[in-house]
Amino acid sequence: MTVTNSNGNADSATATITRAVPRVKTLKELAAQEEREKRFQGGHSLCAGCSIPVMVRSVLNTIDIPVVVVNATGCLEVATTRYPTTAWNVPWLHVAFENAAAAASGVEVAFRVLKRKGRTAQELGFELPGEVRVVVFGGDGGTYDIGLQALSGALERGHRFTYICYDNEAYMNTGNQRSGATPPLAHTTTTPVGRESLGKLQQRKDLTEIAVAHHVPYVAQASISHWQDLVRKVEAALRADGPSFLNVLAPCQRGWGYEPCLTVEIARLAVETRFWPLYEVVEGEYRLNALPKKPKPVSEWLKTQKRFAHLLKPENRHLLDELQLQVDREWEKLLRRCEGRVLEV
Amino acid sequence: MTIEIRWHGRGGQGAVTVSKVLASAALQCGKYAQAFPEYGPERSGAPVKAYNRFDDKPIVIHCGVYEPDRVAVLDETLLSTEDVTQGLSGEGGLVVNTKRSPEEIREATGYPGSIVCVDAEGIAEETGSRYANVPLLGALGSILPFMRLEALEAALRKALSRMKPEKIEKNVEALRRGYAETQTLEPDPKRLQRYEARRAQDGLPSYQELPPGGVITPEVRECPETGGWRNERPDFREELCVNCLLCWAHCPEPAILTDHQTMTGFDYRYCKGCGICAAVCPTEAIVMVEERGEATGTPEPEDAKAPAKGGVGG
Amino acid sequence: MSAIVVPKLEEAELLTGAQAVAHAMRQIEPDVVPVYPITPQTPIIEEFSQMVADGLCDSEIINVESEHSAMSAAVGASVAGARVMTATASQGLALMIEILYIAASMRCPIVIPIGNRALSGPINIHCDHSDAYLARDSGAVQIFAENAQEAYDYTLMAVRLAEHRKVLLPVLVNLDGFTLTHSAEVVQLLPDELVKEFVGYYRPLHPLLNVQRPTTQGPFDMPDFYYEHKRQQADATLEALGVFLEVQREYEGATGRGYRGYFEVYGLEDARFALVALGSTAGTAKAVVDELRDRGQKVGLLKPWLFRPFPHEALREALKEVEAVAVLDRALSFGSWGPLYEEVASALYPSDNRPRLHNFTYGLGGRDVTPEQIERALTLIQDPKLPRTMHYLGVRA
Repeated sequence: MTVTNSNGNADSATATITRAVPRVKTLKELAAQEEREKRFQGGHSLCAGCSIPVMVRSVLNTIDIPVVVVNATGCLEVATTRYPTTAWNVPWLHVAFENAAAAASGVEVAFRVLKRKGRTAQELGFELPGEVRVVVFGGDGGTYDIGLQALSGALERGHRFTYICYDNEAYMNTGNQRSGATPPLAHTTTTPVGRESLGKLQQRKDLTEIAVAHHVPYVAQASISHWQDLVRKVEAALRADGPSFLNVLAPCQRGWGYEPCLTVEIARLAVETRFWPLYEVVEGEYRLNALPKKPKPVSEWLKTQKRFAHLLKPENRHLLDELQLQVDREWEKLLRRCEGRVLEV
Repeated sequence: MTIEIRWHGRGGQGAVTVSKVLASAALQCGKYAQAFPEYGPERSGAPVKAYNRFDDKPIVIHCGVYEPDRVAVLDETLLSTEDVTQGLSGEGGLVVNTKRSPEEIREATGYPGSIVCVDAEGIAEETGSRYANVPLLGALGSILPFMRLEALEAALRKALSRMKPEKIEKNVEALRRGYAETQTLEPDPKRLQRYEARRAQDGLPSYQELPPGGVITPEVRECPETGGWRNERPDFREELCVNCLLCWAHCPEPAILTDHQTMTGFDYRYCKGCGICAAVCPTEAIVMVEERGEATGTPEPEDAKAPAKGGVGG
Repeated sequence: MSAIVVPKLEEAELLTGAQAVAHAMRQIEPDVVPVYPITPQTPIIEEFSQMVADGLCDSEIINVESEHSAMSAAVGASVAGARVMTATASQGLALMIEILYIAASMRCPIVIPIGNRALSGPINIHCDHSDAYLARDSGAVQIFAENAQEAYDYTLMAVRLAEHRKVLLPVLVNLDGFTLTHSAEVVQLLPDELVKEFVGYYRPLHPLLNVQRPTTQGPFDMPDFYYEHKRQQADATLEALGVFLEVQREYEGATGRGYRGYFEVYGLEDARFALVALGSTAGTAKAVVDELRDRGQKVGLLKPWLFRPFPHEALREALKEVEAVAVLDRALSFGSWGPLYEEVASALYPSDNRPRLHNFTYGLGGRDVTPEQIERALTLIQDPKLPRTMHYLGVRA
């Protein structure tokens, strides 16, 4: 783990942050956790090469104490819990598409109040755990769009829970329709490329910033390609005494159009091209978590995916340039917010 | 007379597409026709079914097909994981994409009726059409009494009209070869009686037996194996492994086995053969090999870049 | 004039319906109460919040950002293993409906007082039953209260009904908006300890928080299981018929308050003409029945307490001797008869000696319900030639 400012020099202000950050679990420690308790297991019907369960496993193996998972409707939900099958060996709840954060509020408060009231096993009919963490998984449709209100309410109310958005940039469960997370110019089935169309014509919503605006203790953007960074963020999120929010880039082989084996590589490229910067906001303070030494042009990422194939045509060169400008602009904005604070694992 | 057909494939192999092409061809042969898929939460690579129904009279029923007259299997790995002959009449026919002989397929399935084998995979490769579904469509068409090859061709051309002309021609060629290059095994009357007796019920629990509220309790919980989805399998070359565990960290199932935090191999019951483990392995200790030389999956022709159609929920 | 519970003045207080319900909630002391304001329910959660703030009740209030989230948090907390209540009205109930269906299917015993109010549009804040009728097919049990006293008593009984192992369903306790929620009446509360003993502890069947025994709750059903789960839910809802009577008996044993049966009958024993009405209107109707009986008319009233599940058989039995029935619906089902009328008609169909049946719409959007309107209905149905069309009481024409 290194803490540097953007010039690469150690900085006394950020050095204190280093000491505050505990050691991150190693892969061996994560594997040991899964050997002890396989919280998520095979037998689900997510696509071969799906990134979502990769993220779910990292999250669940990072947590040592009991966890309750709340899931918004979406790929993860339908493909892991077809009755009577389930991939989950932890308590798991799904209520609907747009309300995962609200349902999680109820679980969190229920635990807290039953604990406070000192309810015994005799009264309840079961033993309350000493501690429990509530973790929500929702896709971008269930988080950026239809679930935004419930998420906002739950963040504002200050529940101690961790909401993790697996962002695959469209409604993939229904077959790749445009969402508020879909990047500009991407082909989806509701923003198809055609003679009169170049894909989605609008900007992507910056959900991470929306979460930050709720003044919650911990918000971060992560990617399934950077497991160490993700694990550290899950640990930080769980330590936060209040709501925490992680926005995790989760490529979709079917919707994005690439070979399933490339899932991790494509997520990595999104970070290395600065399309998806890794950063965190701790008590309102921004820190950059990946400072690509030699940032690649965004076209390196776009060209790996069929949904952007039309942008590689010579006549669409200007669109590609425009996207690059936008990525650069966003990156500069983020750097200004980070004020030289960089924390990489 | 009604003729009903069931297609078995995997999400992304184009079973739904060819069922529609077949219905369109049947229409040109003067039949009333239906084509309908079975929708579920399964994703790319998961077993899927599609159906056809043909009749001389207008078709008014909209229920499922339970006793098909023909079954077409796009991916022969399904023979071991799915009951492909469920409800299939002994008087009917089973069409399989395979390099194996019909006798071997009879051994594998126990089906006593007519068995038609075609190397749809091989034809697709040789013609450059890429997709096994089209040659298999040809093979199935060849055993439908009312079907004409020209009608299949016309329907296929129409369905692929958004493709480049040379691509369409390759597909038509694949269709013709599938129609012609079949190996057929006649029904075996000796096995027929035993087979008919075996056709049985689903055996699912009654509503009284389920826990209230749709809860999956440890008692009712099931965990199906998904190894049958695989077209390629990861192969472990242990001597090259440095136990970095990157494969383990990035496996979606999980299907990487560890013992005392040491990578020991694969759980083939669940591995879907995505190849992420091989892609992230820094020492080439994992390589992807063909799944026992059997059929490989191919993307859906009409929109290979879009995810599986017909998901559920939102 | 009659009421099931006649408060003793020396032991009673002057309370609005909302206050009476809030006291019931205080005494039940639910673990979790997600709340969201909506007229005319708001005073329930305001009163209750103050009681919690004053330390009179150990409940955790969640101030959610919508009724949709109120119901969602309620389901989360209920599935987790807590005793949960919330309250709403009108548009709020409409917004909850999606999750109310899910709460019923997940068998969450959440008790929800409803301050009945008209559904938009046009937007209107006053009483009718369109909100309750909207929830008709949600799978929730529905009780209607005539006055503040009944709202209080049935809120207590609803907890036992909802949490009964054979039932495990949400229960809506309907009380008319403004007419009951905001009007002060004489109400006699029960001692706190008696209520606590009556409601007892909630012991969840499959609590999510039982981490020793992980459960997957709210999974995805394909056609091979969905139907079985709904069939199971159908049985549980009908079980509520028997459990309702059982809870009434236990309540009477504990409190001496004799709520008996699915409905209250008034003057029905020898009646030739009957009125069927829900909620506060039934009280006004009792006064009309008295007056008409004084004039020698054999009229009577049937006031259902239980609307879902609907007690068809008992109702058929109760109305078997009458010549004609006026069913009053305080909401429309556009293009058809009123929902209460449909139930009564369906209950009477198997009867050999069916009375003439007429449907009256009344009181929409808070239109005042006067004794004259009720008298008009009871008078009209005495005419055997009265056309069988929807009759509208109290509308300008």
